[in-house]
Amino acid sequence: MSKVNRVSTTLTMPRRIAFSNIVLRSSRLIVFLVLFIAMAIASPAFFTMRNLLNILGQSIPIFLLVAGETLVMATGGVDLSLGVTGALSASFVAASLRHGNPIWLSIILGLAVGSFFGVINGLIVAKIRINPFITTFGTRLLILSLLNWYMRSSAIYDLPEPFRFLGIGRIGGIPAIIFVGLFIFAILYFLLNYTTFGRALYAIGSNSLASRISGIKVERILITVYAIAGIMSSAALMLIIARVNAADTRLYEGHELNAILGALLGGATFAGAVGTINGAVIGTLIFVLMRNAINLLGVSPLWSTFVSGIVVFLVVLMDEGVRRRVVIRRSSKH
Amino acid sequence: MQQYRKKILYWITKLPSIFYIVVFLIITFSILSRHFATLENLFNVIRQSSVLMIVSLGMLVAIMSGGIDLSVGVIVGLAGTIIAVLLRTGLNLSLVIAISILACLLIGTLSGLLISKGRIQPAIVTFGMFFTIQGINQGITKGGSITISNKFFEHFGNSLYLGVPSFLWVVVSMIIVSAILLRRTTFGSYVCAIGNDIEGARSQGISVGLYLVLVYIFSALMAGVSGVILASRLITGNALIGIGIEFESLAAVVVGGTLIGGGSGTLAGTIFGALVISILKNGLSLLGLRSEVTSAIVGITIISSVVIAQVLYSRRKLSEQS
Repeated sequence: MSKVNRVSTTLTMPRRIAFSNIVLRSSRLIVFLVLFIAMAIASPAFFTMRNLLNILGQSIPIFLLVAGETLVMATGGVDLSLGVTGALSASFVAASLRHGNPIWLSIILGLAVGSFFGVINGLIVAKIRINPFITTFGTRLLILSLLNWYMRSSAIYDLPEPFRFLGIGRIGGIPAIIFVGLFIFAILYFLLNYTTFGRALYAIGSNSLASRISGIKVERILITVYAIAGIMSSAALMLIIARVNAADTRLYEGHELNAILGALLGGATFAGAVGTINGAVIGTLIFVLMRNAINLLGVSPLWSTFVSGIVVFLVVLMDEGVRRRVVIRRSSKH
Repeated sequence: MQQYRKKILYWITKLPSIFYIVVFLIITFSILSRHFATLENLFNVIRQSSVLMIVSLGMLVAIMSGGIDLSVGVIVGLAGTIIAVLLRTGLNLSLVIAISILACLLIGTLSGLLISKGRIQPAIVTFGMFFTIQGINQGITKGGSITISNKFFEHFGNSLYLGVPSFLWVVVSMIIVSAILLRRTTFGSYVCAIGNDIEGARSQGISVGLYLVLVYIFSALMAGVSGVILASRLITGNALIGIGIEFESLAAVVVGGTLIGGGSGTLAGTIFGALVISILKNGLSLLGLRSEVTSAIVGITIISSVVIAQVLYSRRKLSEQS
């Protein structure tokens, strides 16, 4: 009798977990669809090709930040310095362009600046093993003061037209920035899904010690991940200055929180080992739609940081609740 | 006489090593700038360091409990903004101060509950608080600043009491309160126990949840108090005031000899750590450097010293264990 019972439980339990996993995995997609439909109903101008392309164009820089943050969070870390790293390298690019350097050289220099600070973050996190929160909070402060030093509290306007094409140009009616986004999406998708690097990332996030023992070069991979996040943030902020045609010291504001919020909304957690590039896309879209919806509701942009902070808390609490439930269910099975 | 000398020597060897860095900085800056070793500048250093010292006391307790409080800086700012806004409505000064401190306590309670009941990492909770409260600050001040016009409040910020800046008395009383709390009550030992091994502390019958909430209430209280005195010095409420103090206080605690990770902590070291950072900032600005340069130098120094301190102390801890 008891044997029959046990068989039936082992048969049903995994299925129930699998079902809850499916609901969990698609819950973000459902949130996105609900938001999308609600926006389409609430505002007649929303559901036009022109507006949708515009929104997509706006969300590409955010997607780059979110994707970088998702990679870092998959290893169980976090990067709070994304906004300032990007802002510093974007200002560097702007200065270099105004100086008359060719565009390709300026962009490469900017990406190098981003990866440099990423490598510093990675070195401190991986080699010295200081909590990534504290590390990147510190480097955020440091890079912010470097940014203020470099920019001397002024702004750089009037970037050359070919550079601005990346941000505002159109190829056959479609914003060029969308092609940039697709290109980077493809690279990251390949990196995460078809390389050992991608698998090592999730392995480190789920158990860093076990990965080390099983021969994964944890330190090297962590440093690479933070470097990629730095490069992503500098690319994102470069696109932003190409769009707004100016770089100043307040460029960074809000981007670190937006990146984390987008990553959380896309399914990444602070605990690590989860979070995909597809998730980053969904998270970015939810974030952008949410921001548009808040604007539509007439909330002052001054309160947007507050709203984002509250949403971060809600998502984290929800994730924690789900995680605890799954853990309890699993432990009651054994 | 011999006995006294031995006793003094004993006390000197007991001093935290950070003390010598304070002495070194004082001597260096006295040589480099003739404006450094003046009474006026001494009072300036006291005024500047008092805010950081009080915040660091709260940060110390949070780190001892195995956590961290990244929201102290914005709480400092919030206390100031609340005072600025409420004084405009014509309320009584003491009532206004009480309300702003209460608001800070409320935030501390909220963080503590999220950490203890919600079981979310302290860094995540207080980081979320960092942005949420900064958002509130921005919303209240509408991105600008609000001037405070209250004679007594202004006077308090710049006055001397018994020959020294009145801030010093606030700092001293806060240090005494923390010292009593950490040394003479069970609070200190329980916090250390929680920081050492949270499950062990729970199995010993310590109500971990309650003490964790108390820890974050304490650090929010310290941030609130320093927010009030900072507001009386600057006479404005502004969304950006206080940002950066969270990392400076973290640096003060770590440089002072307390390891991130919890379980132990040194109060004297933390106070000297705060002094090091304040003297560095003051001295560099006296050398005539631009403020951006000063903040970059201070930032680099803080981060490298946190990294070095963490490496040194964790090595020492490892060698002690083996």
